[in-house]
Amino acid sequence: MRSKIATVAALIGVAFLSGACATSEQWADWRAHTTHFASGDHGMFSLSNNMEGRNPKVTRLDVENSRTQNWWGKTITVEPGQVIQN
Amino acid sequence: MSRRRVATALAVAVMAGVVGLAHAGPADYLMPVEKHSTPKGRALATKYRPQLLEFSDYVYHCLPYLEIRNGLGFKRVPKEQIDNRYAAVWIRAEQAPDPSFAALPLDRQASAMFSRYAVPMLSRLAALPGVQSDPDVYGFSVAVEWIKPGSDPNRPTMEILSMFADKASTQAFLAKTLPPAEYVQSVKLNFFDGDKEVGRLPIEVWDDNFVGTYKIPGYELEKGKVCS
Repeated sequence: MRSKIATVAALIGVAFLSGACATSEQWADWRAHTTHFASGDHGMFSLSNNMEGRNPKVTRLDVENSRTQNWWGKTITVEPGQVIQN
Repeated sequence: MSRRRVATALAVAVMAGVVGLAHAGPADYLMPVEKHSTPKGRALATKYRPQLLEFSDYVYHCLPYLEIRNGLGFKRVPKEQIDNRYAAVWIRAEQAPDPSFAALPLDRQASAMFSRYAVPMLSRLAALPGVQSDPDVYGFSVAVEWIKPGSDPNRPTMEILSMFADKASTQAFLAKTLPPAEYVQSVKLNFFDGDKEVGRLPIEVWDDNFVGTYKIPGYELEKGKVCS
């Protein structure tokens, strides 16, 4: 019985994370092809959870999941202490 | 290892990940009290925790294209010995490459980012209940960072504009009794290009209502949240 519970829990978890990953791919795609700045055409958030795009939805969790997976990897930047002191 | 153990270990690892994701939220963007380096900083972080949480909650839910970096809290000017504390936020503005932005001279790019993001953040910080009249809060600090146009997408170069301003001049600027040009003159400004400190840039400030008016197509605000 315990084994079945563990297996079901694992499957639920994998399904959850797979969903998050798919959303992140869409998010990344969106990031790469839209514009945000000052153009008046603020198409930045065109992420859709509907593959046909009929019912576009973006939740805050989509944003968080994508950030958690670290889109950009390492960046070239200064140490935070050069900008501000704690 | 038995299949049961493998399944159990997998379940624990996956569920831990799920719980970790589920717990990421506005509170995670506050700098922990103990990371403030002086008693004054720690006292302010403790005293204003509810206000900082509200600030973080606003950015988190209402401005999801911004991400608070390096902890919202009460900070000070780098290398300064005196313990003047600034209500401080550091934000990363996520924007896709845009040729019109890339074509601007550096000081115009910085001016645009200041006008678009730093001013509304200043306004929000200045509105934190209690802060304006608190003698232990010296002023406000906003750092805005963004990806340098044309940088390697696999290892982007970040550009950062940081500013520190006292409370009185910020209040006057926000109330439009101090002209933007005079306000900028009074502000400590610093610009960073990747890992290099560039220094002060000639910043111009203009009206930009993007943060107040932009609605993300398809964005579903969490139930119970209100953006104002």
